[in-house]
Amino acid sequence: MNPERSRATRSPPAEKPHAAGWGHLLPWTAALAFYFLGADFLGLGTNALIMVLFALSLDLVLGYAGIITMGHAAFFGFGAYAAGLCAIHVTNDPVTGLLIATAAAGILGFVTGTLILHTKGVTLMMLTLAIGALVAEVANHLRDYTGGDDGLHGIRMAPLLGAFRFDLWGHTAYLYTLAVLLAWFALAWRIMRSPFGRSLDGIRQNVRRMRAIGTPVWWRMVAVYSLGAAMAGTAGALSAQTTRAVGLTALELLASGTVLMVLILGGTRRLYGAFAGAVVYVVVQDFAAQVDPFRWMFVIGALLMAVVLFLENGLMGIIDFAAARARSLWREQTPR
Amino acid sequence: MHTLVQGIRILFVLMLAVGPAAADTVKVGVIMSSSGPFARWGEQFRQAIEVFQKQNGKTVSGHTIEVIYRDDGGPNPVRAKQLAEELILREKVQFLGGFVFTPNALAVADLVTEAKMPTVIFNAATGLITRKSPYFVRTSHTIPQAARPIGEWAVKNDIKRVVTAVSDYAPGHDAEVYFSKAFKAGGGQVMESIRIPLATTDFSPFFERILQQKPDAVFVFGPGGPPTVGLINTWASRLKPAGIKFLGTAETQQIDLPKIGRSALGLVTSFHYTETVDNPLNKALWADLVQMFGKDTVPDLASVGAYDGMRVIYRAVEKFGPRVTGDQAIGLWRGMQFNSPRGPFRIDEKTRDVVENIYLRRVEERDGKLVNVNFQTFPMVKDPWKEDNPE
Repeated sequence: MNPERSRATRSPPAEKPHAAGWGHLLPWTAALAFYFLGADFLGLGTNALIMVLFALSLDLVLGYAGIITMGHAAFFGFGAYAAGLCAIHVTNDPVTGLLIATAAAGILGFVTGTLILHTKGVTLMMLTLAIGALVAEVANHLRDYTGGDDGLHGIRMAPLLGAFRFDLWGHTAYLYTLAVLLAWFALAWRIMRSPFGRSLDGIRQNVRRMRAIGTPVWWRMVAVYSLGAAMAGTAGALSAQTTRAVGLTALELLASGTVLMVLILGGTRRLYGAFAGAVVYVVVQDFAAQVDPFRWMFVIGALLMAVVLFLENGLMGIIDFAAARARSLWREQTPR
Repeated sequence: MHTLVQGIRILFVLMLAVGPAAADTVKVGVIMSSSGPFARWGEQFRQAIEVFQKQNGKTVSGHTIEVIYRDDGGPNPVRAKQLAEELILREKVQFLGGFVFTPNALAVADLVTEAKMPTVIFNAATGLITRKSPYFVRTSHTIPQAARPIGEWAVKNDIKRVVTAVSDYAPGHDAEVYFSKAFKAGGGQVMESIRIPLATTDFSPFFERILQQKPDAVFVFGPGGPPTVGLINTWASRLKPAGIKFLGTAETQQIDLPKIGRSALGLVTSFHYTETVDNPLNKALWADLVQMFGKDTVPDLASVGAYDGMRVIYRAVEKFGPRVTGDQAIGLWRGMQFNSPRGPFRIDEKTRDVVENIYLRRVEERDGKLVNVNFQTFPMVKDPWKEDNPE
């Protein structure tokens, strides 16, 4: 029996509240500390945080609800273009743009979700792929609005909350992204521990049984799919606002594949798996590409293979293992 | 928090100002595509830069020139922007260079302007790029610059009716517009303008349509790489027997000719760099490429773009030393001219864009190899896009 599965079906209050609290403190403190220590690397840091949010959104859809999607980048890209176009044509206030882009991506997720979620398995996967391809092709053809292959340029953001300018060094961008990520994370954490979140676990494990006990399976799936889409849209919007550029690459199959890889690297159904995967991926990629800009993809490939072959639960598996060891050592030293 | 940020910012500016002087190393950041389907660009850039440094030394009046390569992986504006930021802020480069694709160059325009970073475009060839930042200069070519001369030539050489078939993206559109303009101005007729989706690999349906219209020639702007090979082969099997001529620009680079094979014989294209052009710099570039990277190495447009880009950067360091500012460099580069492997080379004083010969050439067989041979030169052509779109 897969230990993950028994964990998922276990009721959430089993975790000690204060122990969980400490676990939370570590990554967020690290993210905040990075702001003060990593001055030269804030651009990279922002990039990593956006990837965390994107992977987190996929974790809801793929990890918890078990919807295998190959077109998740459609929502990221849609959010990015929505935020970019909003900044150019409507208002360049970042928060307004972010909300509009989030809503737009959520609506796209809802509409496409209602269309495709009655299917399952390979059919569903192909449909998500098709939607990803459709959105990319539409963006390519609406050249007058999106710039097509030239990308969307000329995005100029107003200062955040009217006070903090988006500076060249990326201070504002980093804190802004971190704050948005924290808000989404708290929401996702709460939702996944609510009855709704538990029902998703059930749907993933046994759809028939969930139907038998009266769960509105289809609606639950549409709901989480839309939620994931909205969250991915936020990530895209953050990318557009902080880099002030959007390209068709944001919509490509490769982007959907990358985020899937990041999530698997970190570990699915953990929320913090997205953290581990995205940070490691972005840092390793950046570092490897610096050392050898011609062959860095080998390193990424090797890393992914190593993780998939040797760590069943991704990078979070290492953390679990370390935590379990530490706990048992602690018990040995303090006999009750 | 605001004062803290301000403090850090001032500290950075100071570090930027004093850093290079103390180190006596001038860093040049090159953003290019060196992985995935476009990896050849990065490879050609790097080889040409290494040849340039071999020929001209790695130091300029005692200051080491260090080239830092970064991979943008293809047309990816967001990645290009992040790399440029990283090179400017973290690596503290004095110059930026590279840029294979238009969207990537456009993405860094605002950043480059804000940082006053002298930036040399080694390739990206859409007309408007140099307009987007006063710190851009270009050492490659522009597509209108290459497409117009062949339109002028065709209409004077018994080609009166043409169908254009271009890849459906910005450079393709540029090519279609400027070829057609020149061709019509000479009294020619463009029967149809076909735009082929970028992902197309089977060109037969498009070419069947062209065959039925019986034009004198077809003007093609291909997507580059393997599909271009397929495109030319389709022309050779379908249109060539019907006497429909082929007109193009970058489709017949010598580096691609072995893959196209003998069906390329007789193709006419117009371009700013012909590998067989007879000048000592070109011969030296060839010889060193072959010596350093093997006998099959062939220079292409990426090689000359990077080679001349390095020359431009070396000149700026020669004149102003390691602490050269963006305004100094750009001021020097405006109107600068020198000999390049491609022939005479000038940077336009006003537009900061390249002015160069455009050659009409034909694919011929020499010593058992397929090569381009020039048969007409359009001397010192300026970018027509700038003339049509005054500031």
